[in-house]
Amino acid sequence: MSKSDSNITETELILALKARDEKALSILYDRYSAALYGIVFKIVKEKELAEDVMQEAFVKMWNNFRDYDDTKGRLFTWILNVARNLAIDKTRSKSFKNSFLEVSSDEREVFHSKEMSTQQPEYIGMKDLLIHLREEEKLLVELIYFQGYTRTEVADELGIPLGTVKTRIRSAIIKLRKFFNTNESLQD
Amino acid sequence: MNIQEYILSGVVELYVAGALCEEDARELESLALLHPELKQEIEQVEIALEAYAMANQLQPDASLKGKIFASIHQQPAMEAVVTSVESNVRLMEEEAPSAVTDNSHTQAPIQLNSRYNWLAIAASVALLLASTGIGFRFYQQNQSLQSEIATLKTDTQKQQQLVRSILTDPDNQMLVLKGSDKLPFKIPQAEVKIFWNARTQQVNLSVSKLPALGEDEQYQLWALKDDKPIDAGVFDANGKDLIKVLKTIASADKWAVTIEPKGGSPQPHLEKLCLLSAG
Repeated sequence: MSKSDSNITETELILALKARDEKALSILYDRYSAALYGIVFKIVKEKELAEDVMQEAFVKMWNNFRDYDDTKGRLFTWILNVARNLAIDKTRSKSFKNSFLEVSSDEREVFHSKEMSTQQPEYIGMKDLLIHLREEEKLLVELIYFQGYTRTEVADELGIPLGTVKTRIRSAIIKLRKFFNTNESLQD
Repeated sequence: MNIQEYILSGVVELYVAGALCEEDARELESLALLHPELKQEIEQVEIALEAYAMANQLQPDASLKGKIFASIHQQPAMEAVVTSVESNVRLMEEEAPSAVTDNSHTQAPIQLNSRYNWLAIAASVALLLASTGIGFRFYQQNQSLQSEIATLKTDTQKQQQLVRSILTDPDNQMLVLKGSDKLPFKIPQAEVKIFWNARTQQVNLSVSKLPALGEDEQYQLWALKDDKPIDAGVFDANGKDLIKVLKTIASADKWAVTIEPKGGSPQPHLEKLCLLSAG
């Protein structure tokens, strides 16, 4: 990625994508593919399937970019939802059975994976994050945000009250928010 | 509604996760327009999750990017085929049922009586002619739809270019013309914007709020220079174009709009003066 590419602001990127500029798609890919792939892989748990989902997701983003409304939310939220929904569809269509134990072990695998791009300047050590987020909070964030479980499903599966799910999710989000905000300000 | 309670309900987290039903999501979106703190909350949650995803990055194979671009490049041809097939199928679904029913009725009598054979053959021929006719009509409809789409595309492109040139050209000035109770023809809420280019002298107009007129009437824009009205062109309240291209005007002290018979008048009917520029 050349320096000029990395300097393009999100607004410029959005405008270029609306104008169907392929260079913008390339920048979008360079910026976010690893973050999306991390989540897609966690959902489908298979390299080949994860790559299929990624391919479909980027084609869909490219074709449907006019649907993205930047007044309603951030660019990443939109592309994440495109990729995540496709990944969830895939697991459902394969009558994929997610056992929670499986999820946790896979997560551990991913977290400790050497493939994790430690060279990224915005990389934040997972150890640091784990200190901030208790295991059960982390699991809830994963399940609800990145794997498309409803709160009721999570409550049923884990055998905890719905109210507890709600409070845990909220406290996890607040912690995440604090954690990342502190890190951002350290970088500035 | 207490917005703090609403935020604490965890609905924002679900919204960002894309887990709200359509109706609830629309409600949240409209509430976010009214409450800046809700809007801010949404953004905070988005940022937190984005950062979380960024911290959990996993590099896909280097070959993936090439595959994605390859499938994007394959697309245009396929898209065109799919669209034309889809539109044909749609047309056939609308037209075909009666033909199919006729066909099944003519099948049975064939074995019963030779007289019916002729009827059957005649019916088949008629059916064949009809279906050829239908096929030809599909073709015609398809052709006319395609040319309609092409026209719409060009129109949209033209409008986009126009808007872009207006927004980016520093020689363009924008003026707002408003209706008022003080004018002879009272439409106090009416408003149009004109974009006048000092270099090219081109006048473009965009209707903000304007009531529709009768079939035989049109609005007419006038440039007032030294108290003399100069015709700047006619326009309608609605119409497909966002920006209407009017005449060129060398300079003006003020701008005014009157209601005139369709096609415009050489001199304004001042009793129907309804909008005036400020200042």
